[in-house]
Amino acid sequence: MKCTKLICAALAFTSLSAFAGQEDDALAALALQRANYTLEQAIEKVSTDYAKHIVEFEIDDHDNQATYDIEAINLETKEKHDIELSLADGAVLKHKTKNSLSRLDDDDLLALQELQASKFNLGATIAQLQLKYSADVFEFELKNKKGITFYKFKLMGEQGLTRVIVDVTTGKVIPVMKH
Amino acid sequence: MVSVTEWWHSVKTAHSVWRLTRLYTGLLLSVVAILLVVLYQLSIGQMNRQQQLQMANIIAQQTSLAEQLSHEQFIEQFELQAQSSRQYILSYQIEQKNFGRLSAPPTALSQCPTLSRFPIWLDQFDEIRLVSGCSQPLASGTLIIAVDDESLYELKGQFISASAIALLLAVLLGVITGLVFSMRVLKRINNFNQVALRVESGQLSARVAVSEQNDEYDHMALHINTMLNQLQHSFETISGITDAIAHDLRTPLSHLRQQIESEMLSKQQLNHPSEQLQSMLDKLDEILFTFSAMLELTRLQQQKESNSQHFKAINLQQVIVDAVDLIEPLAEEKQQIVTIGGAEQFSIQGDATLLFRAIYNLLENASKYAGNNAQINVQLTPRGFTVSDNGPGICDLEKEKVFQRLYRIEKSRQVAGFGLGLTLVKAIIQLHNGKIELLDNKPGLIVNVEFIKPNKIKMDESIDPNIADA
Repeated sequence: MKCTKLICAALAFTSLSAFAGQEDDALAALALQRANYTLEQAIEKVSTDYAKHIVEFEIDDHDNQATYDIEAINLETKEKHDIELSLADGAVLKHKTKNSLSRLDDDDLLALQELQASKFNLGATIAQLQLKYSADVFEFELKNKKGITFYKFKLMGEQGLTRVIVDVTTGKVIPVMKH
Repeated sequence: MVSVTEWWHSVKTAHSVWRLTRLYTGLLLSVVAILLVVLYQLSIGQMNRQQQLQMANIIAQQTSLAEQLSHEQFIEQFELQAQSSRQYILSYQIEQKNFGRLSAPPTALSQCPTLSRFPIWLDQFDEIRLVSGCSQPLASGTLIIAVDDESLYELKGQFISASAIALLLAVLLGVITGLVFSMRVLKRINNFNQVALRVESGQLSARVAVSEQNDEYDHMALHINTMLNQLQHSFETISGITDAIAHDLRTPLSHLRQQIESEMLSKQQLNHPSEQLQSMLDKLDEILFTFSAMLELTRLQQQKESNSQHFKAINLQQVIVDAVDLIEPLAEEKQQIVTIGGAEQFSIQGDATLLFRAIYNLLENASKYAGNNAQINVQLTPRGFTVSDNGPGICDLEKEKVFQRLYRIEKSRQVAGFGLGLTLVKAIIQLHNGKIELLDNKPGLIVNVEFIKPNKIKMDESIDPNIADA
């Protein structure tokens, strides 16, 4: 029942939208609904096996198979991991490692340092957000702007697309100003 | 590094320059600071005050509406106002529900009118903004009012940076201009001081240089020069009269002495008593000695003036040894001990005979006034020498007066003397670019003599043969 509502909302959102990006968001949400391997599991696996700090996540496809595309960074070893995990069973379909963080700008590095210094729990935050907004996180990224380090989450639920910004230092939600 | 230290030391010791510079810099800094504060209050301060006033009006309006309207009506009007307000971000929270512009209540928000800064996310522009806001509890919920004052904050930051730079420049400008002006003023005042010092040391012809600027310093210089001219003229007149009297009386007094001497011889040949004539002769000798000393003093001072003396390098230690040798028989009569101390070996440009006379005179004074069994010590110092004794000494009030012509301390009047000894010593020391001062030895007296430019003697340096003559 929930799935049907979500598909309707997603399709309605997609039909009203003239942008391809918004279609992708809806399709990503659909793919998540069908996933056997959860986002929390994927985050846990990447954090444990590759690098602790996850800076970006989105739903992608690999050989027509939906994947969790996760970018993680290990500050100690200065490694950047790009991992694609199957939504179906969590299998690693692609893994690229870069042994340099030279492409990161000052804001990105500052964001990573603040994330490292904080007690922010990404898995727990995602679980809370999904529960609070009754929606699935299908995309997030770590950013630093104006000295504030935050995760920008995109959630798709019955109410459509929701953006939630969470301050890494305080763990609190930053209010979003409505149009 | 050494020159910088020297410069700093000279600047630090030039108190008046430093004081003037500090005062000038302080005034300049105060003026700049006042201007900046006024400018801030008229621009950013005014904008802040206006913003706070408008926020207070909105809060008062919403408080009043919350009391007058039903809950639904209030929410309806609030949503309308929140949507229409472009400058202020309005949000109303009832338990977990949010109305107005914000999706969630900001954390750690202070109560109005105190504002606190918090971030908000602008979906429309995909950016984060820092706004200032506060919360106000109303009847059924909490009103949140905020204003996007990031530009004002940036302006404040820029103003503070600009103010800091302006104040720093004011300090630099103040210090540089203050130092330049103060040093220029002080340089001219120092000219006056230099001339005063030269006059004080006996160079009565010294005059203050007058510039072409014709300012108040030049006027002062002219007045001081006129005053010095009159002073020099008066001094020369008095000195001339005294010397003329001494000179003119010396010849008849010498004739008188010869007559008394021949009269004495006649009486002695006739076996008549001649004690009275001998007493007269002694007194006449004293008068002649005084006149000779006065004339010599004048000659020494004139030599200082004209600087016509041709000095030679003199080994001061040798002169002291010779003077001590000569005083020792006199000291032995009074069971006094005379010692020489100090290993300083230096020479000065001077006249060995005059220096010998000065040192001998000091030793003679010490022997004369220190009393029996006294200890007299001559000590060579890095810049001159000291003659000390453990006698009664001289009280502070009279330490300067004893250098005046014919001045005698009351308690020493029973001892033979004319009050010209120390005056002559001082004239000789000054002739050698030195200075003399009297200090307490507790008990006793220390006569400290320092020369401006003594030269260290190398071990193989020969001693002026004049010393032997002395």
